[in-house]
Amino acid sequence: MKTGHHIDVETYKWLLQSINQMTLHESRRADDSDLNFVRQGDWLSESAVLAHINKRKGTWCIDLVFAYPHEPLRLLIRKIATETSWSKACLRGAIFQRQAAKDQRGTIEPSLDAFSICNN
Amino acid sequence: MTTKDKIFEAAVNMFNEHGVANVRLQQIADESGISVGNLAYHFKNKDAIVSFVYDALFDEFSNILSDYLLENSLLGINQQLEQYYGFFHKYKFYFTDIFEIERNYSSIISKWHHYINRMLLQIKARIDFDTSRGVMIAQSDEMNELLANNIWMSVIFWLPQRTLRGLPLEERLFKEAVWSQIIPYLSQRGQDEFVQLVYPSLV
Repeated sequence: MKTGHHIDVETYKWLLQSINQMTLHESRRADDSDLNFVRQGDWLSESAVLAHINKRKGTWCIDLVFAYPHEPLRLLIRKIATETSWSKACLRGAIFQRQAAKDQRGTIEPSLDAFSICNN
Repeated sequence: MTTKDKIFEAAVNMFNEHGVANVRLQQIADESGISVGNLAYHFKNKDAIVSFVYDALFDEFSNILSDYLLENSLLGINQQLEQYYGFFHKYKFYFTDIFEIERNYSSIISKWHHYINRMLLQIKARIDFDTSRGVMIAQSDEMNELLANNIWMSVIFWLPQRTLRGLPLEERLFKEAVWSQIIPYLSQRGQDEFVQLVYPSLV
């Protein structure tokens, strides 16, 4: 028989109580600021996605980089998976990139000029 | 349908009909329409089948438990009751074989305790929730605890007592029996909600 991990009775009680409190919203009216967490992620729907493969702790790590074309310093990097071979990592990275890209046609891309790097 | 699924269904049917202790591998094989050799290929002995069946049973039970407060009106309780009825009706042997299981399969009985505890806590939490929503009359914590216990007993022992008395099993009657425990504790608002949302499904 498989054995799972179980939380103890007190924690479960606390969990149920929290669900109760979260669901009970009749005494408080909804506020516009409640949706802030959605707006905070708005830029991601317009971001360009790049798969970045790098070697970390002896394995090939696939990071997905979400870059916002209109504001180049706004970046989000998420570690997605690791692979033992570079070519496998590239393939998997490409698949992840394709799936995560909101802009399937690939017209949005961050340009290096946006950073206005001074090469003096 | 895979052979394993067939065996599972046959085992549940056989357990319901004859009880876990009285079922032989041959009977399960006959019921699922396969040979004993094929059955032995999938499960090395009866204990393995019992474990497999109980794993599925607990999975289903935890699915029902995870539906807590999906719907915050009284309809939510009604929906969970429907699920509980479906579950206990499908696995009728849960009660008839409880002592057999206690004697021979200690890990299963400790899992049962675990899930039953959760079910009780959920019922209590649901009463607390409906009290703070103003649907149920506010009572002391001890009274709510007792009420939760009574509701739990109705849910668990309704099917066995009907079987014992040779009366028909019907989902509507089950729900009526459980609701009759809750209705006296509903406030005016709760009664209105009950009449509007739950009552149509009971008649």
